[in-house]
Amino acid sequence: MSPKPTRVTNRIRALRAEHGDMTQAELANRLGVTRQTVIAIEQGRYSPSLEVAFHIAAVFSVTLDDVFHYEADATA
Amino acid sequence: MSDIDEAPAVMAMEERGAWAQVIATSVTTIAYAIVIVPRALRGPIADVSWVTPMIVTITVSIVAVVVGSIVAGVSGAALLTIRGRDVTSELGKDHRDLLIANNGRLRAFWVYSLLSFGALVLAMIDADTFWIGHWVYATATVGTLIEAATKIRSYRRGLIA
Repeated sequence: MSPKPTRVTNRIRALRAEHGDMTQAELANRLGVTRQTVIAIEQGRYSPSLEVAFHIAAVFSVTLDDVFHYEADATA
Repeated sequence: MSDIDEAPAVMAMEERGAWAQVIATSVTTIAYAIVIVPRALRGPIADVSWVTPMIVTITVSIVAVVVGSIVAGVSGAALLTIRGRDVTSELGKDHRDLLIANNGRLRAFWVYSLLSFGALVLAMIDADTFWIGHWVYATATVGTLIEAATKIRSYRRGLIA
C-alpha cells in the first residue's frame, strides 16, 4: 500500500458515530462537498482547506484539535 | 464495516473524463501510427501523406473523449439512481476536483512548454513539415496523457490541498 500523502489524521469517522451515526452523505451535504471528498479526508488521502476543516469542527461542535491531529514524527 | 460506513465511493465524474482521455488518446494514436508508420518506411518522408489522417485522428479523439465522458457520466448517474443514492452528492464537483484538475493542468503545462522547444528547433534546422507536425502531435498527446494520469493518480492515491 502506498504511503498517505498527508501526516494529518482525523477523528471524523468517530465523530460521525458519536453524532447519531451521521452518514458520509449527510456530512458531505452539510459541508457542501461530495461524499468522495469526505471519504478521501477520512482516509487521509486529502487534506481539506482550512475553511472546510473549521466547517467540519463546527458541524460536530468541537474544536479543530478535536478533529484533526498532525503527526509531526511520522517520518522523523 | 459498521452502519455509518457506506458503500465505497463511486468514480468521480472528473476521473471518468480522465479515463476517457487516456483511452481515446491511446487508441487513436496507436491507430494513427498503424496507418502512418508503414507509409513512412516505404519511401521518402516528404512524400508521406499524413495531414488528412492526422486531422481525422485528432477529430475522432476529441469526439471520443466528449462522447466517452458523457456516456460514463450518464451511465454512472443511472446506476446510482437505480441504487437509490444521491447523484449530486456522489457525482458532484467540489474544491477537491478543482485542485486535482489544476494539478493535472500544471503538469501538462510543463510538458507542453518544454517539448514545444523541440518543434522550434526542428523549424530552425529546416526539418520537413512531417517531423514538425509529428513533434507537435506527440507533444499534445504526451501532455494529454500526463494530465489525465496525474488526475487519476490524485483521485486514487490522494492530494494535499
